[in-house]
Parts: sequence; structure tokens; C-alpha cells
Amino acid sequence: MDLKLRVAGDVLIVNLRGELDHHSAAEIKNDIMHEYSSKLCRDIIFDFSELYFMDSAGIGMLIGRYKQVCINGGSVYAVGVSPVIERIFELSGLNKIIKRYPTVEAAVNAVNVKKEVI
Amino acid sequence: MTNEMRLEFKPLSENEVFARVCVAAFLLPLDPKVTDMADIKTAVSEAVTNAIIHGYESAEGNVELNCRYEDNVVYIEVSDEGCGIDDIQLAKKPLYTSKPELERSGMGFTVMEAFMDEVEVISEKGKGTTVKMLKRLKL
Repeated sequence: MDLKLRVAGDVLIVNLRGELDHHSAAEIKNDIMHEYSSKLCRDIIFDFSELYFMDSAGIGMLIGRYKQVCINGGSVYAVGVSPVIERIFELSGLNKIIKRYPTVEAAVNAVNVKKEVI
Repeated sequence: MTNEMRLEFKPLSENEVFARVCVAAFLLPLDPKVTDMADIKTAVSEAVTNAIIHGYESAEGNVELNCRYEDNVVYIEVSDEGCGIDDIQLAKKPLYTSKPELERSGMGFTVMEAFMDEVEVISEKGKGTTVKMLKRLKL
């Protein structure tokens, strides 16, 4: 699993490349939350466009991040979800708590619009 | 066309990817659809992860994976000789997890049942668990 983290304003953009299972979820969880806390982020955008596999460990990892982000009044967004991983999203109900956008730029714009409204 | 293989490996989390990739490679001669292959890889990953983190926790032992196909029907068995499951019906319940502190979603058996055609769980306390799964590949 190759993890790339980038901060834009108070948004953490997480690029996941490879396969997300119990082994890799445990590896990346702390890196994501360390960056999120140290850079004082509010929202997280997960970019799945280079993720080729995800099992239920990915559901657990995403729900865990959702809970932590909610405490800060933020939201979790997902972009680039492939049809194969989409099935896991549907089955688990992740679609109800994670907002979906076609691209990272669209998700960043949605975060900025939300801030203007607040 | 029939074929059969057996793998045995230590209950280490890095073996989750090893197990599902081996099964995928074994099934390649059947030329499965992308969705069937993804379903099987995901189900294998769930069963093997359960054996590692619930079956053995940090105990010694090996995970055994048997895979067989007859024409377009794939049979997979994942076994451990770990602690066994107290209540199989409870373990299968969506969102139930005995390890919430590990950020487990409790969706492992739900995923296996959704992605495979048949799933059977045989478990005995203190003896171990076997998950038997069957998938009919789309032609």
C-alpha cells in the first residue's frame, strides 16, 4: 500500500494506491491521523482512483476516520471509487456517511462551498 | 476441467494478500469475469483475516487454505486450529465485532455471504474454525 498525504487549507487529501486490507489499514491509520491532527485539518478527502482492492477492513478504517472527523465538525469525502469497490460501499452503507465526488477538485470545491455557507 | 490446491501459512497479516493472490492465480485457467474474481479475492481475504485475528490472535498455528474447481464451480475452505467461535449466528450478524478496538467493521461474514453463492461455518470452541465457500462462475 502506497500512501500519499497532501494538505490543502484545512483539508487532508489521502491518496491510496494498491490494496487496502487489514494489514495495510493498520499501517496507514496512524499516518493519516498524525497528519490530520498535526496540520489542524477538518475534512478528509480519500482518493480511491489508484486503489485496486478493498475488503471490510477498509470499511472499518473509513468509519474510524469518519468518527474522528465528525468530532471536529468535518466531513469525509471519497473520489475515484471503482465499480468493484463500489459494491463494498453499497453493502456496508458507507454511501450514507461518505460524500462522493468524481474528482479531488470537485470535492475540494464542495468543502469550500460548505465553509462559505457556514 | 478440475483442479485442486492447498496452501498452509503462518497467521501473519501480510499473508492476507499472499492468500488471495494465490487463489486468483490458481483460478486464471478458468478465465473468470473481473467481478467474479474480485468477489472471490474479497471473500478469501475476509476468511483469512478472521483466522488470523480472531482464530489465532497471537497464538501459534497455521492457516490452511484449500481451493478446488470443477468446471465453473469454485470451492474454497479456510481453516484454523485456533480458539473457535462461541456463537456463530452472532459472529455472522452484520456490524457485530468482538474486537471494536481494532476498528473492525463487523462486516466480514456479510461480505462473504454477499459475494459467494454459499458460505458454511463450522467451529468448535478450542478446536478451530473452518469456513467453506462456493462460487459458481458466470460463463
